[in-house]
Amino acid sequence: MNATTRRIFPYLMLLLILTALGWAVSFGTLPKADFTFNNGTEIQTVDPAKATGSPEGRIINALFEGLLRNLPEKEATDPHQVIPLEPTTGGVAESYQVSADGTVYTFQLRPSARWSNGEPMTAHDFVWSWQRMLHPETGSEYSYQLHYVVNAKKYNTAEVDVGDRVEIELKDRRDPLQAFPRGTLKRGILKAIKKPKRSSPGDDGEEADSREQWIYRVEVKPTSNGKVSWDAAGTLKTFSQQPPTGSTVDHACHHVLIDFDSNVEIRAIDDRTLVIKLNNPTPYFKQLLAFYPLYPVNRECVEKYGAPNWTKPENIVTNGPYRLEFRRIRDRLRLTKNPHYWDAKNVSLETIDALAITSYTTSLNMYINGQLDWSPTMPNTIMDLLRKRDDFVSAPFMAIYFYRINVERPPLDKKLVRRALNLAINKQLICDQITAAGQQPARSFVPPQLQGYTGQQSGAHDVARARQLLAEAGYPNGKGFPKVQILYNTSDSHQEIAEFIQQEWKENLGIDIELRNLEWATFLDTLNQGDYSVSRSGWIGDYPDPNTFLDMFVTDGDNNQTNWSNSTYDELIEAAKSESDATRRMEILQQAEEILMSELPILPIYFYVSTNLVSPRVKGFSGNIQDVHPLHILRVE
Amino acid sequence: MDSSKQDNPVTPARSAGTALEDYAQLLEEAKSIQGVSLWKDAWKRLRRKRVAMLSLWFLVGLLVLAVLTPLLPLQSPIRQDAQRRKFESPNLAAASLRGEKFKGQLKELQDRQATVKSDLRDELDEQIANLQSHEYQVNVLWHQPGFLTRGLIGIRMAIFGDWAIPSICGTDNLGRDVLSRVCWGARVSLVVGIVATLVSLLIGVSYGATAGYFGGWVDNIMMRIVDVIYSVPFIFVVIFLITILSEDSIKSSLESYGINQIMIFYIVIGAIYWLTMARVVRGQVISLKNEQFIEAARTVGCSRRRIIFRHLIPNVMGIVIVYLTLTIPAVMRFEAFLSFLGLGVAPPDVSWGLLVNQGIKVITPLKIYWWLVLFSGATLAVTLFALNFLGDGLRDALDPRMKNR
Amino acid sequence: MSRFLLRRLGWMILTIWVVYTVSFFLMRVVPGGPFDSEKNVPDVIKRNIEARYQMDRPLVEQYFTHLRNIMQVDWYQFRLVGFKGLLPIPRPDFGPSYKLEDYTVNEVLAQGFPISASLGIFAMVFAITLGVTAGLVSAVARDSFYDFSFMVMATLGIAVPNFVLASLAIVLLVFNWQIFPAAGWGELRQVVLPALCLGAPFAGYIARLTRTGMLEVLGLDYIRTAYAKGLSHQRVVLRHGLRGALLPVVSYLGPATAGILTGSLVLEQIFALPGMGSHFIEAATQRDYTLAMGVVLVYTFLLFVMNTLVDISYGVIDPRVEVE
Repeated sequence: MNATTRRIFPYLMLLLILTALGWAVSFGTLPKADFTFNNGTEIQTVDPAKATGSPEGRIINALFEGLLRNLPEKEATDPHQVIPLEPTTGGVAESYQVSADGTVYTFQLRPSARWSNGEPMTAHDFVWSWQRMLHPETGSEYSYQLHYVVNAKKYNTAEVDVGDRVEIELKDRRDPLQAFPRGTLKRGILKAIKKPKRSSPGDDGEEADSREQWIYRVEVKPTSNGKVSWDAAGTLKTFSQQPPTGSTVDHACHHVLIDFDSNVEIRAIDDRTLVIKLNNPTPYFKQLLAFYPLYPVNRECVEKYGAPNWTKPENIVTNGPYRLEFRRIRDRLRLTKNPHYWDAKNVSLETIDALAITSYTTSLNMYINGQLDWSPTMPNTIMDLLRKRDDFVSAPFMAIYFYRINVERPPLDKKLVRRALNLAINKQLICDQITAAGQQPARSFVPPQLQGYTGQQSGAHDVARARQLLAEAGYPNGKGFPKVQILYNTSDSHQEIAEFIQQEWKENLGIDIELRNLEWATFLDTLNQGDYSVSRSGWIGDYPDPNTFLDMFVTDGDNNQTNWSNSTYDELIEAAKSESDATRRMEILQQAEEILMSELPILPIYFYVSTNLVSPRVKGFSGNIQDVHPLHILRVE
Repeated sequence: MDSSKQDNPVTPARSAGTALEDYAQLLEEAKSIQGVSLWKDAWKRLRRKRVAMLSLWFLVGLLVLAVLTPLLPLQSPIRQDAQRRKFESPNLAAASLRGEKFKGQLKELQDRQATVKSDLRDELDEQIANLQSHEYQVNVLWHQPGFLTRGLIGIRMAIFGDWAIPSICGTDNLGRDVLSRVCWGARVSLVVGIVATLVSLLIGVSYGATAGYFGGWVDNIMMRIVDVIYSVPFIFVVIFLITILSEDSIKSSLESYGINQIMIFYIVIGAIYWLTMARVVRGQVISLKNEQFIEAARTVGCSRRRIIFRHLIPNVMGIVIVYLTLTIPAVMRFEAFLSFLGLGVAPPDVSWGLLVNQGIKVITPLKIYWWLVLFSGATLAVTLFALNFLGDGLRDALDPRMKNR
Repeated sequence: MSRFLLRRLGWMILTIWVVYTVSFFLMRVVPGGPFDSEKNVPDVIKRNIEARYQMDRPLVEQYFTHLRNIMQVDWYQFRLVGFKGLLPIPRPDFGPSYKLEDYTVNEVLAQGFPISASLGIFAMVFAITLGVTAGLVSAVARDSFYDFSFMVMATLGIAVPNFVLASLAIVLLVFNWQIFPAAGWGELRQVVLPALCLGAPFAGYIARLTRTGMLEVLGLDYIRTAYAKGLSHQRVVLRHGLRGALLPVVSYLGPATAGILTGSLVLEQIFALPGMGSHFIEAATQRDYTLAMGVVLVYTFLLFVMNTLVDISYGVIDPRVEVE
């Protein structure tokens, strides 16, 4: 190469290096937020209808707001105080009334409630959001929380009976992959359902699978100006999702569901009034309204961008105290104050960073170094040292740490095997030595903090009996027991407990266990798909009632995920829902728990104690049995 | 002229003798001149480098220790005792193989025997017998020991009984003895290092020798392939491979063929490091190819295969050994790397990388459990050091330009 | 020169193609692999993948479609001192992430790349600066105390695995002396410690190389001539000697880049930096194949670019070498 190139080359290189350095410096900086805390993991989603975990809950509670809002009864002066939460009218609803029999709730929305794009909120937002949540295609795992509402369950399970008013969605959606906005809706009265002949008789399971091929004959009612004339004469048409070969229908459709507007008792009387009718008086319905799955989402936003794009920071429209500024994967979520929030003047923190650090030790280190103001996670190994600190905040926690068992995978399908596994674990040791913050070993599923309810217990730690049971099940000394895998979400603490249980089962029962860990979001998906044998799980009560723990395990419950099914259990849970006598209701629930503890699709391990490290400059923090700490009432000095 | 390593230097006095006497004298001289093989020469040079020799002895010692670990009176590397022995700092308290935990369990069972109902009595008896049986103890105290290891363990238990070396390196978060974990981890780390290196050796030497010998377009293509592979950050591809191969369904189908994860490990790691070996061997072969003795062999009528394997490869051995000792630390470091990231050896197996990972995870400003990182980290570092120094020393020793200096 | 660049480009395309093909077939053809239709994948992802990858098409067509997506190039018009041209900027489309519902691989890479890049650049600059300086001083002050101590530290840096070094650094500099923050990113000083730990082994190696190179060069004739001409010590060493000594260092920069890319995997985990390395490890543990493949291809590309730069620099520094 020529001499000039050679001479300028070192300068060029130097320029390149300096540019690179400058570029690197620019990327390495980010302005600091008012308040930084560790959310513990990268969250799965910010869509209230799709989320199920508590890390998601913290963010959704800051971004969105429901009819009611869970707030501490009184203002906290010291983080060590335990102040119960109350579902208050600090939410979108300004006031509400409950009918005498407890089944009709009427809400008046506050006129100052707005979305983050400035648009006012209306009761129709709630109706649409809850319809979306109940819509079978959304696949919400918490949709059963709305089943208390009249006909909501029927809509959610896509059940239709002859004579029902139905809505049919035609296959002309704007985007076939998106459930909303929906295609043209035809409404009418269902006259007949024709199910295809079963090729081989006697398999009931096929009926559910063949649902797509059912042919519905509907008397379609005319619609004008969006209003359906139910009394007018209609025209008979046939519809099917996927007509079987050889038959033709008038229209192919996506869904045939009971007509939401005329059946499901969630009604917007006018823009400001919402009326909800329940099947039975449900004492904890107010708490449910303050719980995030029932938060509203903005219809325009969802329909315009579709899922999951509508949740992106540049698209999302929320109604809570904070907006989503940006989301950096596996790093942090930045929330900034929402100026359109009705109570914006009382929200103190301007920017909040929610970090996604999974390592407990790193979280602690960052807290001690002043990089975090609040760390809900800390390593178990030095728990005894941490407990002595002033900034350590602990409170009883209505939550249980347990292992889920996929009862369809042999040999875990045998009740004896599950009971053996349960009896072989020394839970007291886990609480004393591994988690070491005052947790209690769990023999029942429902935690002890609930008044009027006594948890029904499974067997106590008894290795001899465990071995006996295992031998009875056909695996004396663990011989012939296939290799089983324990799944857990990435965390030091879960790994320690899993390693401990691995050893316990090996030493006491002679069986070999493998360990596998997954990131939180993937972990949740894997559980949902049933792709596991034994999995670590945790459950925090959504409201202070045993039902929140027990109704998880009804047949095909979205949060069941164990494939366990027991019809007596289902009946008992249903009966409890309609039982108005409080004492009798508790008795029914206890009976249900007894069944659960004898069948053991889950192995209770211990009851949580909430542990938080909170910087002294944070004000407004207090403990409660749900370990919920609304971000918008915090202040920093 | 070759400097001869004679014991008795004979100065040929030019006596005025007959030609026969001259020849006899020459013969005497010739006999007393000892030829020096390359190896002996190299060994002598190596001996002079103190650091390299120290490293060699250290490594030999480590190897012996690793092989004999089941024989040593160590505590169990996998048995947990979170209740009694969590986070002990290095101490000299008396320790036993089966541990306090065992005694506690036995006592608990025996107490129970006195009070229990009859239906459980048989079960308890069986449990007590089981607890004290040799088979059970071996299975609980060590993780799936192989046949040979079992034998050594048996001898250990026979000789030392329950006595074990105290926890001079402390215990970890679940009460496991660090010293024994470091020793058992050595086995895994060293085995991975050696086997993977041998795999890379096998592939690299054959590949390089063939490419070098054939030359021409064969060589060209083969080296081009190496070039292409070299420019890929192979480690990432390897991790990607390991990811795919650990997919549950694939893993189980591989296991049915008898290939378990560790074996995949060996092969995959070995597959990275053969590249340098191939290049080096090829270079050496090319320079050797034109030597006289090869031509002689060809003239005599040796087949190509014979020439490659019988003549070329043994002469390449020198440089191969050098690179061998330089590849082993690279492989070991990579294995530690993978285990640190959670992609390598899985618990309850132990490896040095895993131990360092466990140590780092518990470091906080409030309490630094230094013994969890120091011992495994230091052993790893010193072993890598030693291998590097030995490699450097061997390289200098085997350098033909340094011959007879 | 341009011929050289073109040939390099050709090799790069070939290499990337090889990596892509191998990964593609591994992922598709292996039974039970990720694109096996039997797999139980959440609906959203299944739909995304099927839409993006056109799973109903024949395998060969999928192969080429995806390849075309990856090889997408934007033509960027530029003007440089009267020289107009079109520069192809690669803008690959790697498709949706296999495990993260809300994200495409491109989005994840776009977020992670700047952090890894800043870490890598700092580490490299640190390694070169410290390494060359230490090597120089060592060579000039040969066999002195400095020489000895520098070389010991250099060997330490090379042999000790970087995660052990990092933990030591954390204990000393974060907990004991509280100079640096513990983890995370956002402030400049949060990148400093990881960069130091990442660059240390390479600084050591570069120091050794510089020292050896310098010693060799200083013994050559033309240096003697320079001294004889009366040039100052400084001028001789820096202006004349350094050039020759830098050659092995420059050629080492290629493998050094590869090493920095690899080392960042571990350090990003330890210091909780959400860079490409930590995303790659998560992808490996979560079996997020599309993301993993995206990272591998990006890293291959980076390495190639770096190697090419190194070769060009080598040709520039050493006039005896012909860059062809």
